[in-house]
Amino acid sequence: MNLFEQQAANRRKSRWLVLVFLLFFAWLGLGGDYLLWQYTLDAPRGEYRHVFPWAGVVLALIATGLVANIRRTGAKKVLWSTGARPLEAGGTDEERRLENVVEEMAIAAGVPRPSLYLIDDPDPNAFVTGTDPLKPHLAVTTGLLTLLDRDELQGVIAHEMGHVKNLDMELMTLVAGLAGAIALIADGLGRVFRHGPRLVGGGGWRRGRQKERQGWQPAPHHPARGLAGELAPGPLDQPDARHGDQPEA
Amino acid sequence: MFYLILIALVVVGGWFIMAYNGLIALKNQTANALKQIDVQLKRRHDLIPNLMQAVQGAMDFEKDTLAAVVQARNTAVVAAAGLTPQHVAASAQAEAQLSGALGKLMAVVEAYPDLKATGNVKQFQEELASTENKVSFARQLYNDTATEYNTRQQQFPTNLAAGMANASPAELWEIEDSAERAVPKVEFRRN
Repeated sequence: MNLFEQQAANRRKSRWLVLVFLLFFAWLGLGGDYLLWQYTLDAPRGEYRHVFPWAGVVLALIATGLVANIRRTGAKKVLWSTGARPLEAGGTDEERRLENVVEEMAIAAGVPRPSLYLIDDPDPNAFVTGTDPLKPHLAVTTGLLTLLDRDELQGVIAHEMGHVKNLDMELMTLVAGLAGAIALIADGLGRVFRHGPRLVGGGGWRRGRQKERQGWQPAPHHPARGLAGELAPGPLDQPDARHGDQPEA
Repeated sequence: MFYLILIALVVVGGWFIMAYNGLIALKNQTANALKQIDVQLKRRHDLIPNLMQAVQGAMDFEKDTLAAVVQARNTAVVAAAGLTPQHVAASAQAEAQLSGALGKLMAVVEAYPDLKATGNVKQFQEELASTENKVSFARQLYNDTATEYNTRQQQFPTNLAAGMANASPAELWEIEDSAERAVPKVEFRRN
């Protein structure tokens, strides 16, 4: 498989992924519509009858919104979940060397120079993320900088540039974002079902809501979390999620 | 019959537009690839005066080595000013000379552990190594693009559109440092 076939394959996979994601949501909604339809079949004249599949349409629209949101902010979320911080200019000798090596390999691969991030971790590791091949983000651990010499670092960075060029990066960021979104929604629904009885019933709503707030312990707001941060303290908070979210090793 | 001629004209015209535009695109890509080298060359030329300042105090007695670098740099700066896809050889040669002179300087610096240990010199070594790499990667890109451009304008039938598109063969960036190419002379003598 040459580079162009590889790119085409990854573009195809990205499209399929988005399509299946949308269909999955529409399918969920249509299931609800089907139940409501059955339920209101025998409704007397003048009463509400569920004919138009509103739930399916609404869920498909929500899914479209999620995809658009992940395309826009997916890279930021992945970076945030790994605790990466942007590399500032004029750092240590090792950081300077990293900048140089990245620039060299970007020239060699003919891809735009990625923006750089550092993760404070003694394990050597690196990954790229981003949904736009023209705006890659590259994160490396501090361990990688201290353990590798210049040539070894060049090899690792060249490998990551390959991910940018093959469009692996785009696909894997979408996977991480969409899978994360589903996990968040499952988590949120689970909470609703668990605490559901307390949410219904006269006058209990407010109380139940307050109790839940105490029980949930809202995570500190982080601008990068965006939608995910607003929904619930989800899997992004769990330490093991960082490995799951790493698109490339 | 009239329609046949019309169709033939449209086909030939369409082909010509595509061939012409393809050549123009490659011409601009070649110029762009050369510009990438130029950017890195400029960076390298700018680094050298600072490097000189960092080392000359400690290396007063290595005047020849320092002078060779300064001279090679000046030649390279002049050559870079006239750099176009049709005139690459002069710059390529001057840069190769400069690489050689810098290499010698760095070899001499190795002999001065105190000098080598100072922050400035270490940083310059890193920057110079990086710039050399960037030049060589940019050169790969340029040579690939220029080769494609040259091939396209020589191939039939695109060569028919080459004159109209003002296409002329681009020079490849070759390494022409006599020192780098020379085979070391080994003499066996019997006394």
